[in-house]
Amino acid sequence: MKNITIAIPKGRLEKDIISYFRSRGFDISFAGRELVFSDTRNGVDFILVKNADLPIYVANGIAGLGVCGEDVLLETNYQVYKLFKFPFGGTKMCIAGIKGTVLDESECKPVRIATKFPGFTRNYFHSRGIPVEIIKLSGSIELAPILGLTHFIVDLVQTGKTLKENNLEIIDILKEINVYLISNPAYYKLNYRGVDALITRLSGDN
Amino acid sequence: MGKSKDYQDIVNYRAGSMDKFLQIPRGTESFSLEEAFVHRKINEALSELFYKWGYLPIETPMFDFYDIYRSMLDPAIEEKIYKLIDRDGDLLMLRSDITLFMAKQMGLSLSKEDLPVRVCYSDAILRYQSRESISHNEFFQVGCELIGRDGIRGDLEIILLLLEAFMEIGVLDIKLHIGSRALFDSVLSEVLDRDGGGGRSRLLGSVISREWENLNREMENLGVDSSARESMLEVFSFIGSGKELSRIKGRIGRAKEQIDYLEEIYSMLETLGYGDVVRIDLSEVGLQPYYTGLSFSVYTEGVDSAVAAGGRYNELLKSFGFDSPAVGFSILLRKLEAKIGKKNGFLPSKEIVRIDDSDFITSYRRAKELRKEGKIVVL
Repeated sequence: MKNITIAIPKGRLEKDIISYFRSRGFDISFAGRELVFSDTRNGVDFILVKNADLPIYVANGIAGLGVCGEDVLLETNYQVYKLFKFPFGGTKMCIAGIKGTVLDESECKPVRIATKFPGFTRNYFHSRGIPVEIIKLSGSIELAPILGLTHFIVDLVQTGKTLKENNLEIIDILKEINVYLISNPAYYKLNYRGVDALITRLSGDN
Repeated sequence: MGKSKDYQDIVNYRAGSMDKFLQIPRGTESFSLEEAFVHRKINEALSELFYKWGYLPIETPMFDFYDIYRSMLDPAIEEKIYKLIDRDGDLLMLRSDITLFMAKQMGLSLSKEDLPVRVCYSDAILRYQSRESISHNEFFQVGCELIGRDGIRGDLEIILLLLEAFMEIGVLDIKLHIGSRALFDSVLSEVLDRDGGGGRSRLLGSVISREWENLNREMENLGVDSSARESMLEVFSFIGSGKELSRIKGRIGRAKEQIDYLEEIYSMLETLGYGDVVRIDLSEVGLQPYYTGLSFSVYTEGVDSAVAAGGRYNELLKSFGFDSPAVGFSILLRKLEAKIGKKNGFLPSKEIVRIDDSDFITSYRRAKELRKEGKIVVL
């Protein structure tokens, strides 16, 4: 069988993913600025890609499989299978505002929200019949309520420390966000035996 | 870059609408010369095959009234449809799935004495494509429909014709995944009755996209107990050979008949030498709402999603006034063409005779003679 290619995202999850794969007997280490690593013993090639680009590599079949936070999938239209949930990297998509701010859903005016996740936010509120006006920011979302751009933000919250330090609080948890092993539909269907064996190995106890 | 001055003039002239000049609207495509030649040749080869099986062509309209089809469209499919308003103010939809338009046409024109009827088609379709989906290529459907033949003979005919179609165009590294909407319906009938409608397409969506966590949660919301949920998840996630089906056979009593049927289909196909090509895959429940029985998809290495799909739809024609069972498939041909390429002999011949004698009359006469012998001659 051909080597399986697995895309790993740079950044937040990189270290956890690498140590998880190692604990399951895979050989994986990217020296220096290397972006490709072959685990010849297990027949797996690992490639290191930018977090937000990962679904593109998987959906187009450049990488058969990928490890991907659900937050990244939310803003793409790619159809991928979520094959296995990793037991780490979980976080929450939350709506937050300055302490004491109330989200009044009965008000007819659209709720103004700043976020990095405009697609998810729009769908979430519209499917509940709440009109929203969305301002897309690319970072430092917490600034929006502090500086008066919007009353609310929708963002990933891991510990809540950043919110607290900026006098913000969680109003509601919108979605649990997990880390998954993903593939495009055709890749899984064609190689399901090999992929299932890999999943068994990943899900097994140490 | 080797663009001429004339081209630069056009660019300057078009400066105000450069975006539109350099692109075409999303959801459509244009291609020419060798690529178009290959496309036509493949198309011709497939048509010839279909004719040999007794199928006759059907031409469907490019657009039709949207209202007629509205209730038959899955939300995920509806999103991709282009709609327009005609001069009388009626809402129209552009052809996005030939089966639907074919069903209306056939429903209106067929009578019982005509059955069974075998039709084939090959035509462009239009579906919205997001900017990112560079490899979707859902532009062209080639397919067959067998109307008026229920049961295993009809199902096998369509599956075997589909498999032969892939052999014909030299795409041999395929896997045909066969599942069943009927199985989905019988397993979930009680749950769906309780739900009253809305949950059906959500459950279907979860099974097709193998979202087991979602499926589990939705069934829990519909009051299915945990041991029944576990059995259902085990059944729908099954992929394997006909023999491996015995592993899940006893799991759900209501599914037995459908599983027996799939076993029978598999064993027939195995006898005919397709054992390595065919897999039973119970998550293949069919995306289109109109399926009622068998449903299947074809996958091939190097293409991101199914390149062909089909199934049985015994209720669809009834919506158009003619009650008859039917089964069919369609191949998304443009997804495959890059893969077919040179190796299968669909490329234009490189052996071209050039005649440019000083006397044009003589040149023309010589060329005519040579063309009679089957040569390609350019003047």
